[in-house]
Amino acid sequence: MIELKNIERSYKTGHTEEWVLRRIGLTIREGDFVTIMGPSGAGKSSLLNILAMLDDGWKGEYWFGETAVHTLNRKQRGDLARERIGMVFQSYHLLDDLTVAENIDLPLSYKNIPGKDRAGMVADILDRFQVVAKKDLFPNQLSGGQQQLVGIARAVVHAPALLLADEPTGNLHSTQAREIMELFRDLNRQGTTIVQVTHSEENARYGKRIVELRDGWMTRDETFQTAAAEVK
Amino acid sequence: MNTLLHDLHYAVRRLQRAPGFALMAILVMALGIGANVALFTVVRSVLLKPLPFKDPSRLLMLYEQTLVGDEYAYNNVAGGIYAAWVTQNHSFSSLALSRVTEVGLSGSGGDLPETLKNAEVSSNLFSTLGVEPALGRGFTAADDTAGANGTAVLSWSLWKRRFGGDPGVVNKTVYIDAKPYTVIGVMPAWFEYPEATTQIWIPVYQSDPERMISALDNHMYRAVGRLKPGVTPQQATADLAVITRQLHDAHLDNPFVSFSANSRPLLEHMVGPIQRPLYVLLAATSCLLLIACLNVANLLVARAAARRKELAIRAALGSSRTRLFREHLIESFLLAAVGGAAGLAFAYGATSWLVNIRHDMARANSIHIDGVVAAFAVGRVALCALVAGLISALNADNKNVLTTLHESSNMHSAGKQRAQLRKILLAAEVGLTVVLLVGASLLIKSYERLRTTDMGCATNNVLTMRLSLPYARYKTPGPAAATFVSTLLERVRTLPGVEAAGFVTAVPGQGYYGDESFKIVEDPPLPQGQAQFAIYRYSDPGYFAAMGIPILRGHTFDDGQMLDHADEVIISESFARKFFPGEDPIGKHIRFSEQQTVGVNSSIVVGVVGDTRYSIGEPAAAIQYYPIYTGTESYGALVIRSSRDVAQLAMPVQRVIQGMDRDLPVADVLTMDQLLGKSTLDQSFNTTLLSSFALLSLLLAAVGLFGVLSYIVAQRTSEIGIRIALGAQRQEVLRLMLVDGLWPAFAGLVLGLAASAATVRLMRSMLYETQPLDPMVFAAVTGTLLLVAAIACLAPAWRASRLDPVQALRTE
Repeated sequence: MIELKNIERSYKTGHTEEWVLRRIGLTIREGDFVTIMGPSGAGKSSLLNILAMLDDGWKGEYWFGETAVHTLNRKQRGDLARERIGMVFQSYHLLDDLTVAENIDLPLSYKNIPGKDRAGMVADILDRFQVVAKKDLFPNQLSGGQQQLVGIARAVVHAPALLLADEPTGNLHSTQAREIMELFRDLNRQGTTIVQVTHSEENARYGKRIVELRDGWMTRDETFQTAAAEVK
Repeated sequence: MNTLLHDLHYAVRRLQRAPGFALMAILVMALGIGANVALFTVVRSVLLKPLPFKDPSRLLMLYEQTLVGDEYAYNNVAGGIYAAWVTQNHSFSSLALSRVTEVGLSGSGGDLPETLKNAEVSSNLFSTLGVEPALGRGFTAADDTAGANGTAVLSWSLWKRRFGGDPGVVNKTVYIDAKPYTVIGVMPAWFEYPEATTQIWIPVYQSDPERMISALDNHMYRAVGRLKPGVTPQQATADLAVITRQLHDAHLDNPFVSFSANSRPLLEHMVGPIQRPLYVLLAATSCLLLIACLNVANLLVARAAARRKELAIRAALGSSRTRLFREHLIESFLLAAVGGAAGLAFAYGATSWLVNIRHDMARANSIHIDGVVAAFAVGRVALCALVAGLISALNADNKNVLTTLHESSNMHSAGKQRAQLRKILLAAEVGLTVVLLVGASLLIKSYERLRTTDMGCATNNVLTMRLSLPYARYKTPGPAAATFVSTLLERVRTLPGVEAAGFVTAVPGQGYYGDESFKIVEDPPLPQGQAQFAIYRYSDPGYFAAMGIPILRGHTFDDGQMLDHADEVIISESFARKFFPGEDPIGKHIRFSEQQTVGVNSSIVVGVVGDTRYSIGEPAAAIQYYPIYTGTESYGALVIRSSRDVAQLAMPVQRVIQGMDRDLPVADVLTMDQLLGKSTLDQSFNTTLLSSFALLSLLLAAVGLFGVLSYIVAQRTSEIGIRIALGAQRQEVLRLMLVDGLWPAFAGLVLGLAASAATVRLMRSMLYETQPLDPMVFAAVTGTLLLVAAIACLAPAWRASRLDPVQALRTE
């Protein structure tokens, strides 16, 4: 599904160039649940931003299915990401002045989907995530776990092939974190490919594969067949 | 007190650390306060301050009420009526007469002749007003009799300019219209009456012929009266009305003898025409000041947002809300005070400039900044400081200290409230700007209409200059004046570059210059008490061709139209339509009283010419033209048309005149374009000032819009990042931000248009052929404002759409 070849990312700081990703080669198959780990500053979020097509300043080859992302311009990348990718953020990034339902509708509103269909899709996802009763509440009326639940609902409402999550449980206590990770596992079982960035070993065990980064280099790529099933 | 000084010290330091903000706020305040104080200075000096005469509240300007209706409700006074008022009234301690003319002043020492505004006045004018000459003496009754030696009083400016302020000028002889006059006094520098530009006063009964000054129907004079103690203006006016009515009833055969009298306070008479425009301009500067206040309030709100963390720390360290509130106000007062000081300097410069360029305006010399104006300025500073300071201080969120300290987020509700407040302030600012824009646009359209008015004659490449032949050397009626004009035209026409030249008593656009009654010989007599009258002009046969006035029927005057053989008349199209409806006027006869004085019983209509306008803002009126060579008139305008730059002919033509009479002054050497420009000076001035204020407001509103949207973009950076991360395209972000920035502009526009519709009616009297609710003007203002708002919003909105989502999300 995704193939990264020799991906490099650096930032200019004055006269020097600071490398955050070095020669990353990574293949992600459909149905994968990949966890990116590593210490702070290792390049995890940078890699996730590249996968999310939010960052343009990298070098190398990025294949998304048959599409060579590295040959696309910014708009084409935006179009592709809008169709195929969903994002979950550590601090939820719900918009304060939109209700739960409106927040979930947001990514749909950026596509050419008729309003009626959008309403149906939002209703389905509210039902699926069991937050129908909260659809008219504003984010500040929800707990952190509920906010992240809505954040995930928003990320998957348009049924993306790839779900990217940046420290999705970083701001949650352990019970809420477990619920969210269960949700990810369910989504993965239903066919959504997931890439998450986390510091948590426990969260990593919900995935099928761990990729570790250190100082921008990929230092580990380990797959365990039964990992997700073991976590209870 | 110590704490206050401490806070003041901190405020100065804080502003020093934000020089861009401080400079901007001070500049905006200075402009607002300066413009408002300048206009207040003018309004107070010109309209509100009592006249500098003795007990000015008892001075009344007196008028005849000539015909029923408003048109002649405040007519000039005939000398005969005035004489009756003087002898029969019981209400005035004194009455005085005046008449404004133009005279040629020439010195005895070979000084250049010049044309001056002169006032013929009754000997008691100065005592009636309660004014003493600064030098020498005023007129005595003996000076003001027919046959007395000529005496003259000079204005201060004329004395300084022409006589170098020499105290020995008293008893010297000057030549006014070639007659010797002894200078008997100099008036004080501040004195101006009857007009601001009057430079010389001579006795009226000594100057004007008995026939003219004793007539009951010759409305040429202005009368002023001083009320006796205890008499009200209403009682006095009724007193004069009774006297006038008696004269009217005794002369029912003369329709021009007025039937009643009217009065106005002297101040109102002097400043009446400029009252409305000055109040409109003062209102405009008040709008501008409010806009400036809102702008500064907006800046302060943004600044408070930027200082939120600092204020939270202060609060956490124990500062009370009152103390923080006071700090806000001190900063605002400091900005307003510095802005006010700069504004006062600006106002001083502006009023000096105004006095310099509009010295013709009534009471222009009295315009200066005094204690009251300074107090007004201080009041304005306090008001601005309070308005701007209170808005930002009341909005400062000092309650959620902990939240503020913990949050680094840009997306908290207080930030949104601030953005909301800034939008509301901006909407108010835009609304006021719209009112100014609509007012200015109406004046611009009106002025445009005025300047593009078809005068009925050529206005390009036509040069005009005015001459007044002194009676002493060119007695009228008589051949001398006719011969002078004839010779002058002959010589001017031979000058290289002159295509055509003519002479007329007044060119189109130069003014009314009097009407006179006439009778159409072929028509039955009019019923008693009715009369026909029309404007009259004297011209040479070549005038119509020179001025490009078409001859629609018949022909111009024959060459033989000289002196008592001059029995032809040419009428304008309006004259023909009005007095010969459905008839052919050619060949009809008109009996004209002025012509009868030179022995012409009646004149035959030989031509009909196109209509012209005597004044640029007035409709074409009926005009009758008589041959200048009858020798009845000794003044007029020379017109010269050329195919090249006609202004270059000014000197050669003046040399011709000087060659014919070296003591003859030439006045108003102007092209027709300049002449029309001069006659629309008031409108041009008002339009320019109001437009400047409106543009300034537009600029402030645009800066406000730019600032607010930049602020909103900063507030919403992370939100924009989220939206982009969730799939929003650049153009969607651009549209979102533009809508966000444009709604206050739109709301302000709607409010402003509604307010304009309610207020512009007050400007009706200032508009020419323009309706106050002109849809084109409202549409143009709407378009302009939205365009400017869109431009102002575009940069921050574009910046928002270009945000790097990774960076934007990192700011959260």
